[in-house]
Amino acid sequence: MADTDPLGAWVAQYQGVLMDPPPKAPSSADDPVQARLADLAFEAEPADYVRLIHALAPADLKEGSDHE
Amino acid sequence: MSDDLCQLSLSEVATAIARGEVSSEEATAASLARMEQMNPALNAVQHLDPDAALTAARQADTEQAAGNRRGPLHGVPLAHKDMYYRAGRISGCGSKIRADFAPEVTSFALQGLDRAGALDIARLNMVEFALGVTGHNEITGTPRNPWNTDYIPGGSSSGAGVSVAARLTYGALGSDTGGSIRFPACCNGVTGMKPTWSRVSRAGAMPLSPSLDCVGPITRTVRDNVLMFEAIAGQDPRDATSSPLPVPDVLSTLDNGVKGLKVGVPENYFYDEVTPEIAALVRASLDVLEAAGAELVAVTIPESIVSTNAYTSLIIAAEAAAIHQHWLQDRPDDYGTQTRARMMNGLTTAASRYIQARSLRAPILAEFAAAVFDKVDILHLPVMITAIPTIAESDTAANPGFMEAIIAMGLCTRPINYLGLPALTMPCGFDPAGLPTAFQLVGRPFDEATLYRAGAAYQRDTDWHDRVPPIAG
Repeated sequence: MADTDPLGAWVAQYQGVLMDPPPKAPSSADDPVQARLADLAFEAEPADYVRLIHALAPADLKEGSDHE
Repeated sequence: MSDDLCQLSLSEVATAIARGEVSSEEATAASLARMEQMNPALNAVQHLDPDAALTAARQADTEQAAGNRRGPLHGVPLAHKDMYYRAGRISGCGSKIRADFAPEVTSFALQGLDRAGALDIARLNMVEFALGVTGHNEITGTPRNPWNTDYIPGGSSSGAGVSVAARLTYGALGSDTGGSIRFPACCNGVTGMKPTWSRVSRAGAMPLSPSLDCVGPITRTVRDNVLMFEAIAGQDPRDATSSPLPVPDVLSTLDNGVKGLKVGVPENYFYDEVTPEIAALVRASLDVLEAAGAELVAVTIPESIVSTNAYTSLIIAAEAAAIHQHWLQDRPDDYGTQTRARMMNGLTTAASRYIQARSLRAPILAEFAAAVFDKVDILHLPVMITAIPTIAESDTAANPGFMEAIIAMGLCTRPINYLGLPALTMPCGFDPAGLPTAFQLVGRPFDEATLYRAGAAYQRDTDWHDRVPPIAG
């Protein structure tokens, strides 16, 4: 591992029983939720989130703002 | 008399100062005395400068005597999590690495409180770099829960939660990336608001995970919390992500009650891992809201919520590692072992997974909003899934097997960070060991006002928020 992934090897010396499990998202191919989320990711990008939270804001706050 | 002042709420002491019934100097001296008296047992205060605090208080009194009140918090002494920068003053971030760091800027949140007239009299202990939910800190020591000093204070805003509960301060800024306002509010029996992501500028606040970090107040009551929220919310050119939406006059609707308000009760996920005794306490708070006129509505949470806990962990790990990489490489031994190990996880997170986790926020939120907020105004949830553990049993250095339980602690909080929704946490009773527990009300984006209105109604009909830890009576 050290030959091909020096960062991983360096990190590994500090990791042990105290660390969290690797923070990977569930990704089982036969999980219907994950399969659907993978499809959604194809259509989405991070900036969509900012637009959405403003779209979901109470209507009285959006009057006259840039976020209608 | 001096110690009695500390038992006033923030709202009460602000009113007393405004009326001239109490001076800022008296209130500040009372807080300082209590910090000096109780901190050896609680380890909640990281630093205080009594001379500077009293000088500022006398200045506030002089200004008021001359008819110049700065704002609604004029002369009220507060203290904050040690990650809010004030130019020229050390902001240690609960760490060895930043122990001598004196920033050149003042945070937007502190500037807002300054404009409101509040005094900033102490820096409060916190989890190292805000990365942890129990409150343990290998560097600065673990603050103690005032309800029972053997138990965790909750983190990462540990000193803030303890200080408010123990009446060391009237209110404190915390921060919440995965539950770090809501856990200490829950563990210490106080009130905490995690605002909508981008509602409060993060400029001048220590970053942990900018996509998730939220700045918010911890106080004894909902009304106190509103006073601080209104002082810190709003757009800030220094934080490009801060929202341009106007901040409503929350106080004007605070006492409107909950008659007709639809409160969602989840049928799945959020209670799946909650212990029966905690579930019973949390569900009892629903009865109070219903008796006050709210309509309880069962809602089905979309299955995609299950993934949000892991996505939140992934985003935090990747963003924290990116921020800390140079210190992780140059000064690895200056981190606590748990903090370092958790930061290291992010160094090997695939960039594609990180981007996917962030890209999925919009579609998952859209699905959640359609399932929940098309039916109800707010959602009622637990905060912690179990009774509060002791400091000893949850110390993963001595008890590595507890790590799984710590990860599970975030089941009800981390999804809300991922969705970026506002959440108000309030105490709702005590577990069999005599430690507090709490529920959270979750609202649609930027609708903190409805959460506060419901919270105020709840606290009008209950007295959990008025209970005082025996050590602080």
